[in-house]
Amino acid sequence: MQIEIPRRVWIDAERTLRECGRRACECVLYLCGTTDGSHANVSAAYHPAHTGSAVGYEVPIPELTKMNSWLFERRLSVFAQVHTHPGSAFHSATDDRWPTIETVGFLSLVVPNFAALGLAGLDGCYLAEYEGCGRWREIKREEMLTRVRLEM
Amino acid sequence: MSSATATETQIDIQVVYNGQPKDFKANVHQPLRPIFQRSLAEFGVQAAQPDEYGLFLPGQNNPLALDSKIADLGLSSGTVLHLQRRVPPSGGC
Repeated sequence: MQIEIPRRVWIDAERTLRECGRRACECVLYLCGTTDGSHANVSAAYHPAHTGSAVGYEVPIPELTKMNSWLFERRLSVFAQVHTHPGSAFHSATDDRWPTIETVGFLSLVVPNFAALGLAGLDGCYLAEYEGCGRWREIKREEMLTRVRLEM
Repeated sequence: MSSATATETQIDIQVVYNGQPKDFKANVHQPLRPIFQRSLAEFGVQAAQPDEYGLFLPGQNNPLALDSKIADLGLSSGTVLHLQRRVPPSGGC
């Protein structure tokens, strides 16, 4: 699935990742919107309250519950999770194991250096697609730029 | 069995996953677990560990007991349940 992210949403997401993490803690947010099956139109970046450290994050169940009600009320779905790493971007064993959504095609975008470089161009970012049963596939940069389209 | 009894035995439950609802018929004398298992299948949830998921009443942070009978859980027709993780999402490097 290709996801389209309006400029106001990715600018807001970029600011959230930076300000929440303060170049010291990982941050996570979720790209939400609607889909026709092949394209997802992202309309919001949902930022749950979460714990964060230099090496990880966790979304408490009450926050997950709150987000799910928020999604249902608006008939929106999460298409991708976005989180920061302190250094290079990759998918860790923890990232593989505990995503918020486990349906085939769900995307996970990892942003390096606590998002210091921002999201424009997705420089240094890592994208993975869920294949089911705990398996992920790395999406190389060329494909990443077609799958995640940032409105400029 | 009278039609009235049949009506009381079968109820409609709506399960929501990732913001989207699906409707399920449930027998109140059966445990909730079959609804949970059908929900995972019909929403296409291919979890590494399905037992890390549960069915939650809206706004509640503890999952319902899947092996309890639906009637004993006090669920009635029109009940909305959320299918979600009961183990927190997390990540790290």
